[in-house]
Amino acid sequence: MFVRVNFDQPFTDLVNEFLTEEYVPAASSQPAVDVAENENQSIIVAEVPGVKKEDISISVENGWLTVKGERKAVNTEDVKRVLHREIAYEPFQRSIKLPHQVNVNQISAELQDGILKISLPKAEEVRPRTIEIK
Amino acid sequence: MAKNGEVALVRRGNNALARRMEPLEDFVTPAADIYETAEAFVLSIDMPGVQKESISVQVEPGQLQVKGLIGQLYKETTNLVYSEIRKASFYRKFNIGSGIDSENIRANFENGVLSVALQKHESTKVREIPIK
Repeated sequence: MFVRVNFDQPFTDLVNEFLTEEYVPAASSQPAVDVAENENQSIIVAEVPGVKKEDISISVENGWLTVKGERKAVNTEDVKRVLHREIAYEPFQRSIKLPHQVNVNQISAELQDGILKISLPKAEEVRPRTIEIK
Repeated sequence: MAKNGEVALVRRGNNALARRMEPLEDFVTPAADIYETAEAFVLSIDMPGVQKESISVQVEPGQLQVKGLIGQLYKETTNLVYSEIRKASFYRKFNIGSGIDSENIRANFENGVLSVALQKHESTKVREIPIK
């Protein structure tokens, strides 16, 4: 949801001279996810800005894919004062049911510009096959 | 929980009120943190999926505008089965006060986060007063 910024508040830590809007976004700690599919594989995409590769773990068990991780704040030693916070620096975890049988040994993942893409190749049995008519 | 002047977090939901608050049709307002160091004010803006070359940071007297265009997440041959990710570019404006040296602004983009450092004017920096 959006949060209303109270410009009438007399306490200076709630009045922010940088903001132009009356309503500002508030980030969720659980990443937004898409599930896409083509003939050969399913792809799960998660928005994880500010999360480093070493802070994410992906696992598959019993037909479920689990993505766990944590977004850590950067440069905390240099920070004198936080003027405004909308971003969640917290651990996250989401589990997604695998859409089909997956060739587990060929699952791959890449992280770029805050987008995590997990490729789940379809197992042989579930790939589309054309049947010849004799 | 509020400490060191931090504002408490509110969870994101998705409701009609939030959608009406978007200023421009095709743009999303990115979440941003604003903090202060000894030398500068820093804006930390979430722009996942944006291509670095498409980011624009523009300064004019009293205002800073940031924009980032998202790239294509999927090839045309792929079907989207379930979607929570908003496929829109990012745009946000910030006021910048007179305590900032507008000639001296640095931006960098890493892990989908745009970081804009606004150097303080000499006069606004914190000075240690020596005690004799």
